[in-house]
Amino acid sequence: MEDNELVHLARKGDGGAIRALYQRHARRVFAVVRRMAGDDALAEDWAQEAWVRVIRALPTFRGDSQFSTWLHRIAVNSALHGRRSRERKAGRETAIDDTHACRGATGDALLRLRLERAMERLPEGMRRVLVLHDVEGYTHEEIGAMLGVTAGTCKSQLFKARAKMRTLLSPSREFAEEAQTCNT
Amino acid sequence: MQHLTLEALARLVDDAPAADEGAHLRDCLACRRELGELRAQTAALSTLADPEPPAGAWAAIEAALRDEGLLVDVPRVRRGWSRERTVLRAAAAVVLFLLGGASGVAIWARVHPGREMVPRPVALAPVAARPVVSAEEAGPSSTPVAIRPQERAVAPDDRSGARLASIRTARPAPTAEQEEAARELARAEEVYLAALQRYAAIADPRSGADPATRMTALDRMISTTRAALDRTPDDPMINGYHLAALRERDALTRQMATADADWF
Repeated sequence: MEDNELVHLARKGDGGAIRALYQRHARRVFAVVRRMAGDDALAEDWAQEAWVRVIRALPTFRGDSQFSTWLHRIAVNSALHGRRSRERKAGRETAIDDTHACRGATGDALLRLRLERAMERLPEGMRRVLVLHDVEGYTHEEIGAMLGVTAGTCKSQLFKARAKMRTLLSPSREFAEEAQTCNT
Repeated sequence: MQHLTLEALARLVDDAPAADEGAHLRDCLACRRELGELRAQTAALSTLADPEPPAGAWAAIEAALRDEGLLVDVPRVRRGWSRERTVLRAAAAVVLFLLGGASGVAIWARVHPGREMVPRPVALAPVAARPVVSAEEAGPSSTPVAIRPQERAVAPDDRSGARLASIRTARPAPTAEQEEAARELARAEEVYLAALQRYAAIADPRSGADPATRMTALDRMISTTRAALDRTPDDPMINGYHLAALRERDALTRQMATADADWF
């Protein structure tokens, strides 16, 4: 059954249709909020909030865009506006658990794991922009609109985030430290 | 030599370098290598796998949706069956049910004038209001077991008035076996009613079912009632169903013969 058919049923509160939509898109929603949250517990709260918002807003979904696009945007907004608990944030720098297994146990699995960990260690503002741009593929204009900043500010944050990631991922920070002393 | 800053190199992942930056990159292996690393890092971020949500996530979401009244268990409606038409067809089936049962009772009285009739424990209206299920869907488990009329449980309703009351007092309380037999009979009746409802739907000219389809459905009903009669030959209601189905088939046969004669 297509998303639009499920949406039609879900609008009436059909539990089966809502569950089918969840099963189809849960991973994508959780991924974006997890990376923006930086910890599992917060991500779970935000994902739940995102799904409740989505189902609540279904009557307003006109089908102008793909359901998945609309859903993704609501998930991002839930993450951006979600409540943040200091206690939960305190645990951000702990290693991620096994539920974060990457798809396929290939040779670059370790690199992927290191990327995820490095993202978790970014300052919140940098992480948001990096996740939205480099992971989720939003444009600077779109991110600026979501965050209420200019595209230029968004770009500046992104370049800082990439540089910070490089520093966190590099086994030797000699180049980074040297580069920071340069002016050009 | 002054290297490019990491932030500048991070910008060059997306943007073209300015003239002085391009000149530096041409001469500086370290900066070219670092730019390559940043590009690889950005590319890797865009291909990260999505993590699985926690196992219990749906349960929490479902509970939250129920709390808000956003999720309800909607019964599935059979495609193509509007509520109104289903009610009409159920009503038509009940009429057929009653006619069939009445026929059976009349025949029973004529064939067995001296034998006592046992009141029926059947509640017609509630059964008729149940969702339409075909006899095939009801499955073989609904096949009736052998029941002798005198062993049946007595009906709990009082439509038969004082006579029923006297029967109640004259007989001992039904045993567990008798109660089970009565339940089996009730289940069998549901199967027949469902088959009748199905036939009523097919017989509706608006259904578009051709006479051959109706005939097949009738044949199936007749074989079902015949099998039941092998087990309960004295049951007046089942006799009624059987006779009603036979009558309907005869009428349909005549109708089809007339149609064939007029074909040319």
